[in-house]
Amino acid sequence: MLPRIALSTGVHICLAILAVAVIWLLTKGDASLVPALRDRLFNDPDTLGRVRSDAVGHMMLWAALSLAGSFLLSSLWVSIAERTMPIDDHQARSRSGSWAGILLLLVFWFFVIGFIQIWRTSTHLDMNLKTIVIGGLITLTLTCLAYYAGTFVAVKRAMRPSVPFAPVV
Amino acid sequence: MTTNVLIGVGGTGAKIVESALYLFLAGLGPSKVIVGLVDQDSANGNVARTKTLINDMVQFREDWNSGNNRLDWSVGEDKGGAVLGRVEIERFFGTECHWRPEQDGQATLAVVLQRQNMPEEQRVLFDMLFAPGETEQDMPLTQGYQGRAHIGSAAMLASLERDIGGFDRRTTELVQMAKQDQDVRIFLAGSVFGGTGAAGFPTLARAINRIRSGGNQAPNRDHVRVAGALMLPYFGFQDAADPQANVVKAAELLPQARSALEYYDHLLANEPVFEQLYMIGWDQFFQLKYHEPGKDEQKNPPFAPELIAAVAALDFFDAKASPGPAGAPIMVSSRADARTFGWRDLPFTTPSHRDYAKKLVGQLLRFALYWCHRVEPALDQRSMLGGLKAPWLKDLAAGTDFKVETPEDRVRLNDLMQGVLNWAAAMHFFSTRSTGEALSFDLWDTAGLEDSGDVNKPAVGVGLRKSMSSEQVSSTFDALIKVDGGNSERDWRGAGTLFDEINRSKGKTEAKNLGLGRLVAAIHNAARPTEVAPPT
Repeated sequence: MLPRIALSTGVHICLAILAVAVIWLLTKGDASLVPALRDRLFNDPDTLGRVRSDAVGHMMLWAALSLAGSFLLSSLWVSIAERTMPIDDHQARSRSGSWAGILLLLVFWFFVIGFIQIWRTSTHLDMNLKTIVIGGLITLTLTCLAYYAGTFVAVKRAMRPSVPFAPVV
Repeated sequence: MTTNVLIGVGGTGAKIVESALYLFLAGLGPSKVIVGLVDQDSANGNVARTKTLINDMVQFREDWNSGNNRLDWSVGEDKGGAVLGRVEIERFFGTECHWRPEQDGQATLAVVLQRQNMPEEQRVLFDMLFAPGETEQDMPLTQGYQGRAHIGSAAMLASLERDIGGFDRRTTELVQMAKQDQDVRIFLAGSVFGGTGAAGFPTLARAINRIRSGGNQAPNRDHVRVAGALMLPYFGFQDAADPQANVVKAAELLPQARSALEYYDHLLANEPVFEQLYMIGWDQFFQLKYHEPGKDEQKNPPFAPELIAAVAALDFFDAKASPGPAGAPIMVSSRADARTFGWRDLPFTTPSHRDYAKKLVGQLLRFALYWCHRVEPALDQRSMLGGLKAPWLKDLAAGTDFKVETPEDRVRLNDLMQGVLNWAAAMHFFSTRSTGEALSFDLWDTAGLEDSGDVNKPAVGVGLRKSMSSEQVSSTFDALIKVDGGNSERDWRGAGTLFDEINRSKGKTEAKNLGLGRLVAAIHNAARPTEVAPPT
């Protein structure tokens, strides 16, 4: 099981790097900040830079914690699957409900982290809504992709039909 | 190499051969056995069923020994070699396994012994020994000897003398195969009661003894060993509806058996026919609640005592077993508890032999169940591109040509495995219900497979479920082989372990299994109930 978990870790690290890179690209310029803030701090580039840096930091933390959640939850699923002994593909496929349940938990986790990192820290007041939405959607997509790929590569072969579309893949 | 010959005499003999064949199919026994059946009633349901099984097993070896799909029996199971069907079966006469002492469909004893051509004094003697008319002299032999062993003995002896059907010639050929370093072991199986078995068992044993003792050929006695399994009365049946019918009655079985035993006592004291003689009985009769004098309607279910007799054949064919010296003590084996019949009650030489037999029989039954209900249907499930859908099948059946040979191989393998399940289910069903006091049959439990069965209609057998859900397969598979003495439940492998293993396995072993043979060998190997090495 350990080599498979290592593979899942690798997948998550790669996707986390990708998420951070995409967020860095999205928030590269001051255009990622709300126009009112940019106008207000037009003459204070240091403060503007610090605000942007804080907002980007929260966005990146959101992505990193989401992917960390994906890693933990995919590992949880893999350990559950490890103890499950299906007798055929049909029985293995019938466990896809719990796979989907954990995926929903991950989506919930994503929004909780988003709420904590973006709303509770008032980042949404500083950062362009469009940037937050696009960054969030990309993070959500990469998080789900990481969960899918992580479970796919780490689950034992007998339980692979429980990961949707895995036999086709 | 030893030449092993197994001959079932009569309906009970055929059922013993049937049980032995399933043990051979499981992988128990020597590398090759020549199998024959002896019965005057060629349509007898018991004989017909065993004859079909012999032909199926010969075909199985042909299917998987060459061509696109192969099983490699030349290497050990630890190296991925096949155990299933390891024992090669050869028909007694090459293309035919059944010897019918009198080939003429209208034969009677008077015709066989040519009463009309007898000199006056012989005819008087004949009339004195056999009742005239249809009672004995003109009784049609088409349905066997109807429990009249003296008629059968006379008719069979006449056929042997004239070598009708070539039994005498073929036996001589086999006896001639005995050399300095090559033994011939002949095992006869039959009953002490009834007609064909009671008549044929001692008659054939004496004929073989005569052949090995010389006759016109050089004596081979030292290298030709003869043994037999003799069934004492263990099942009963209803008397015929017509009380005047010229057939054996249930009440005649025990007196007949008693007379026969007195005869055997005399025979063995005066003529050393057998090196080993196994006698098997049962304290409570298995009751067959019907009466069929013969033909295809006489299709009795398999019973536990026949399995014991089959184990006796294994014991005799075991090359290491040597016959006891003359006057050796009689060995007795009995069940530990009269209400149960479990693995520990099977008289194997050592506990390791018993554990290995339990493993292989368990493996066969579990393979049959998983193959018929999971693997065979999965082979037809295809992806949109036409490839196999199940990931594990993609690896294990890689390289299989599904268009040439495989369809026929699959059908025949599936039929053979259905036969395994039918045999096991019938033995379980009728053994637990046919005695007055319910017997706890602790070898296997096929209840999860059984769909229908009527103890009052034994000839119909047990109907098995056509399809089973994953949960049904899982629970039936895990409970199939009962645990007693030797292995602990902790070591028992379930259906989940099998599926896990076939998913891990890529089918790559030292053995040269080919095509679908790789899949068969992998599934069979994964179906092992526990880890037990072959006895040394």
